[in-house]
Amino acid sequence: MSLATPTTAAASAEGFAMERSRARRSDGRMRLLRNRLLAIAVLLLAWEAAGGGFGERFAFVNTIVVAPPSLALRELIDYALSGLLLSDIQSTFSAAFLGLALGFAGGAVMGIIFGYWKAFAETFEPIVFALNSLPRVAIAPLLLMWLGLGLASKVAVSFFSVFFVVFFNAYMGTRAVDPDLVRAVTAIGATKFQVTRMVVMPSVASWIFAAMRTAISYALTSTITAEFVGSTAGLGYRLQVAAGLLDTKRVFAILLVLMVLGGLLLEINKLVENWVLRWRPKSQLQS
Amino acid sequence: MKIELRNVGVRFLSGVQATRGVDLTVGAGEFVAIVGPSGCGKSTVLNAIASLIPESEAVVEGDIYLDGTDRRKLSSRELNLGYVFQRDCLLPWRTIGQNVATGLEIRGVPAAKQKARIAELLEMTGLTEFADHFPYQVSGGMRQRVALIRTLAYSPDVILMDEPFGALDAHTRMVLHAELIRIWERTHNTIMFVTHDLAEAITLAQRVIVFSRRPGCIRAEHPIDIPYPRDPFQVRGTEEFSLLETRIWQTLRGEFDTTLAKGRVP
Repeated sequence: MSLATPTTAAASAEGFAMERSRARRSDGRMRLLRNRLLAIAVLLLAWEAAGGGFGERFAFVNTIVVAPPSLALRELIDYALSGLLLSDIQSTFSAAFLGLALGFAGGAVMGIIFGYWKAFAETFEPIVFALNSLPRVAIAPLLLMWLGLGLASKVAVSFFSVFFVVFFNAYMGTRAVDPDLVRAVTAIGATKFQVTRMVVMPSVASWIFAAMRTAISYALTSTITAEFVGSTAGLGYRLQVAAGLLDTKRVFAILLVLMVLGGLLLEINKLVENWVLRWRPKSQLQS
Repeated sequence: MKIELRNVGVRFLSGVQATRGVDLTVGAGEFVAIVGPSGCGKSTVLNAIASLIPESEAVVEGDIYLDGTDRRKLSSRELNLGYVFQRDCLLPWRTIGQNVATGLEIRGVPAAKQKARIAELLEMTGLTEFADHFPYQVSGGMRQRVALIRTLAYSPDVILMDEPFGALDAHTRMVLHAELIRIWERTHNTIMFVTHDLAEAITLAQRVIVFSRRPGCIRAEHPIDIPYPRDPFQVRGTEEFSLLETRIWQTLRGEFDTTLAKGRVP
């Protein structure tokens, strides 16, 4: 750096400082990652020991009740190799997703109709509110009776639990559209249809998206529950059977699958949501 | 576009008479400011001109003509007016560029033409580098500037402004005054500018209309003979300005005094 003028020297000094602070930040991130992995490892080791994975000496719980992670993992591999895992995932998740999609579309459309059409909303409000106060899974036995043990009944249960969450958000969202924005766009010369497209839809979409996270958990929960109640396939069914046979290693294997897939879905949803709602100021609460 | 108000009044169905018997003619290309105490119905008059008062809320009495045509015979598209509110009213889910395009999009202007027009306006107001920002990412002054060029974008015949700079700090406001004067001198839109700030009215307009307290009607009119181009930073220090301010304040003060007195005496 023989040619360094004072300004470039200053600039490079600044660059060094930035470099250093970036390095420090990445140090912090690495430390956090290490601590997290450590915590998980300790938990797994304790569990392994408790389940008798390191010999009977350390086992302090009944191994029938708590299968060690190593056994659960081996069980998971067997389960996957048999081809059953994939078909179970398929039947559970296709039911959950179909219910989610239908409930989402139905709830959004109905909510917007309610928001736009006051007389309609006032007429049907008591019915909707009454249905909503029903614990969603309580209607599972009825739906099973009507629709049988197959896919249809699971989809229906998932649909009902998703529908109301989305419906209420769409309804409130339609009513909460900022009247000043509507006025402003009308003053510019927008037709009713243009106001709907430019103001109402984006505004409602942000409300509906807020419901998405809850809707995903609801769809999964209700499908699994419906499979408990009556089914011939699916993760919930397999879980129920395994628990009945005190096959804990299989129970843990299935729980692991549900945890990973559920978490993955919520993460994907978060990414999509962050992109779609990128016009919103970042929340001050999440830093 | 010439605006004529004939005996215009607005009565809300709740029973409040916002304005009564307003007679006013604003010539094509004229810049008029309306001042008056808060709640005197000056904004309501603008809303009446823009046909923004729903029949379910209020009755608009009298007649409003735009270039001789009755307002009621014109659709909002034919009215072709611009309205800048105190709140910027930008669509938060649209970028600055998309917000400026709103009026063009509504009028079905082809995309290429939109782009050129937006670029020109952003350039004019120094906002080019913020074209892809969302409203929450820029300052209040910038947002109000965007609201202004969103209105200018589709070349409205009339621009109604309802305390558009009311929420800004004094300095930003002056900068925007200078910008508005510069734009008006170039485009000569008809502008009706409502404010409660007398100095702002004198700085900007060719004519200041003083409204009475509610139900608002025209109390006085004052021509402002300060020549353009006006520099808002210079104008305020001049003797001419202070004289005008004092004179108009004489007519305006009465309206404030009675409002206060009324408030005090039960």
